[in-house]
Amino acid sequence: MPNLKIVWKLFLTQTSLIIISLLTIGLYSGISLKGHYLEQLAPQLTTNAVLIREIVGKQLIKGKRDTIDFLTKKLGSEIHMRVTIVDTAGTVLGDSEKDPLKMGNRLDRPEIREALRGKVGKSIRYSETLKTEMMYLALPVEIKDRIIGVVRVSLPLSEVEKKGGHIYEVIVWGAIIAVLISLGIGFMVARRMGKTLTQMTQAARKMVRGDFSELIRTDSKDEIGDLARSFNAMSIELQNKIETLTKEIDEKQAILSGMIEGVIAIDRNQRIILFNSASEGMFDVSSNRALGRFHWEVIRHSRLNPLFQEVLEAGVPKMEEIILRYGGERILRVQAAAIPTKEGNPWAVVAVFHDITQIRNLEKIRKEFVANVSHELRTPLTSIKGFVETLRNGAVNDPEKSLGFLEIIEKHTERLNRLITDLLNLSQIESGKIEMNLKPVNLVDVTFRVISNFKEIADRKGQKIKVNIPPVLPHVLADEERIETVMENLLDNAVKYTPNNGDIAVSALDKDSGIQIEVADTGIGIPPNDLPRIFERFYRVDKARSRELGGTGLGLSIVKHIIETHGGNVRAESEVGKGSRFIFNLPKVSDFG
Amino acid sequence: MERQFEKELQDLRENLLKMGTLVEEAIANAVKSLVERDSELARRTIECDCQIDQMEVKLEEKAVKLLALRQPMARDLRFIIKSVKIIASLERIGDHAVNICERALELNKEPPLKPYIDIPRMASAAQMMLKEALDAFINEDTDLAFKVCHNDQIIDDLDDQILRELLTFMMGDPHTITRAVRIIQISKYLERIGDLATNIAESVIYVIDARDIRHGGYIKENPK
Repeated sequence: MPNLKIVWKLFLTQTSLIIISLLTIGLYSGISLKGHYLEQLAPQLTTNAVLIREIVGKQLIKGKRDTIDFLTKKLGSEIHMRVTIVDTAGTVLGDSEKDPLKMGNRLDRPEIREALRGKVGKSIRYSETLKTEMMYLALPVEIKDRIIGVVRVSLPLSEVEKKGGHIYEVIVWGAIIAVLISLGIGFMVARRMGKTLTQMTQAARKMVRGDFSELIRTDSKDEIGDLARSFNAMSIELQNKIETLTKEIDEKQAILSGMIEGVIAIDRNQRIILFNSASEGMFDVSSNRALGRFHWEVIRHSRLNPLFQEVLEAGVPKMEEIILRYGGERILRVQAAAIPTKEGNPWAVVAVFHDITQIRNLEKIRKEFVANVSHELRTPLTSIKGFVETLRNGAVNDPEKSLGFLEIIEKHTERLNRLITDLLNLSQIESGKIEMNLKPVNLVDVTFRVISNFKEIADRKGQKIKVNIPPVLPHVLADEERIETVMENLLDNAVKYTPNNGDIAVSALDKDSGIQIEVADTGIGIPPNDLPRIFERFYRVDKARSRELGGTGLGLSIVKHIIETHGGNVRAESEVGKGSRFIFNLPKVSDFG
Repeated sequence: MERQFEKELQDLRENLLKMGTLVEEAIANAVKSLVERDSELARRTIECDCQIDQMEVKLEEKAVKLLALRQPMARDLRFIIKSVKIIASLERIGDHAVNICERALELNKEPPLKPYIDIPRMASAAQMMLKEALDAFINEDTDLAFKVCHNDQIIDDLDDQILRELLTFMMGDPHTITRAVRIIQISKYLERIGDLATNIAESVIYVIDARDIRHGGYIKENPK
């Protein structure tokens, strides 16, 4: 039974109220009823006494005791009352219940004394003779103003008591019935109330767990019904509020996790209160592990930890670059700012981390590039300058020598020229300024044309160029001249870096992703460390050898840019000592739509 | 009173971690100065060591004070006693970082013997061990601490490998002996760093579980 406590409370209050009121009413009515009976009894007794006086009075004058007694007994039995006749001396002359001779003097009885004084004697007391509470009424028997005896009529009060007792009985039964009814009503009311209350309790418990689905059904119009309806309204309102809030939080969460920058917030006590997913990746800590902990526990960094503290104490935003050591060295730029309270004291620090490793690397490459260009330009210039000086200092008069020097100068000038042309080409392709003369190109033709150009050099080195190209290939949309440049550069490298009697293989494949062309050699190969960087400008695996072979250091860089401008891609595979493979893709004509 | 004690313990923990951070960075910089032949960085790292030494003195004093004034029991007592040991281990690691820097300064004056391959690998393993030992300390993660103890083997193997490789160098060309010996010394320093990180991890297990697993005790308990 749900809500037994309420049932009991209702029942107990009801029952005690009923019992108290019934008791009060019962006692009061009992007492007043008794008084009422007694009041009614007195006149009745008086009437009887008067009548008996009339009957017995004559006999009393005659003084016949037997007759008096006989009469008394007869009258007494007829009126169901005790009748006693007493003379002035107090001697009992007749009694309806007992033998008068055996009864003692009755002069000491208050009602008799009263009657002997000529008044109506009345008294309620315990009768020694009959062993019961009796009401007595005594009347004087007067003959010519002289009192000659007393007639006393009495009635046991047990009759009255009996009637009073009946009332009490009725009251007790009434009380029992009332208690039972109230119990029933209590149960019913409690059940009705209890059901709603239980529902509300359950709904409230569900609300605590975040389930707002349960509404309370009630048709009751009382306060409990009101409460239930208000409860429902509150539940709906709360649900809406929570949904709005959750949505807002989710949105913010989504923004934060969508950021590439790491965001970390730290409260006054130096504990982490925000750790977005980008920072999880940066510091290799999951956010549930980080949240609520001290920042110096989660991220140990001798620059970062003091930075947080400084910003928190001073409230001044700070920016710094830090280096992370684990998981590969990375450079992060930290921007930390304090969030002030309304009073202006900082209560939290928000730090945003940008990964600037790549930017730094690019800067490094740029710096290296400038250094490289200057170096590459200066090397031939130094030679030219040197030979020109030699010529001017007299060598010009030696025709044989001067011719040799001029040849060297010419060679270096050509080299400078080539270098500058390459550089210009590269920068043009890179900046996208150059007009691509795009039209369908048959790669088979281009490839064979280029190969034929290299035949002679290859033959001289005893190298074999194997060609593995299907007779027909789908056309590609390309600038024919530039694709020729690509093929030339790749073949040039292959011939240069392959020792005498090596093999060079050019193959083409028609793939779904486009036409794939591959130039493979059995050359010296590229060490794995250098492989990712060979497409960078001026990057040289072996600086001395490359220059010796007449390379500008820009060939592969140009290849990469041309292919990428065409929407293709290029990659290199290599094994030191065994050879290298350069593979590039070009999209087919149909792919351009 | 109790809260004040908690705060003091927290303070000890925080400073111990800060010292750990400095030591971690010292190793990283030492190895970097060696591999990238950056003598300037080596000199700076050597200078930084006095900061670690100061922290050692300060923290040890703090721990002794806590022991004397608070008379801690059970876990707190274990924590403070082991803190003292961890502090000592960290200081030793810092010294080894300095040693590596000194060898790096000497090596950088001469042409490179060969590209460093195993030394950086060993260094990153040692760094990882120290990092994980400290992480285990913060997170009270005994599993991680056990892992550190087992990882020590990796460093020992690398140490052997380096020794063998350099022996062949030295046998081939006596000119390489000075450089090779220095590299062998560095390898030994790194090996010692691994051992000290293992000690820290063992201390962490003792603080958390009150189990002493030193000297092979863990092999019986955790046969992996």
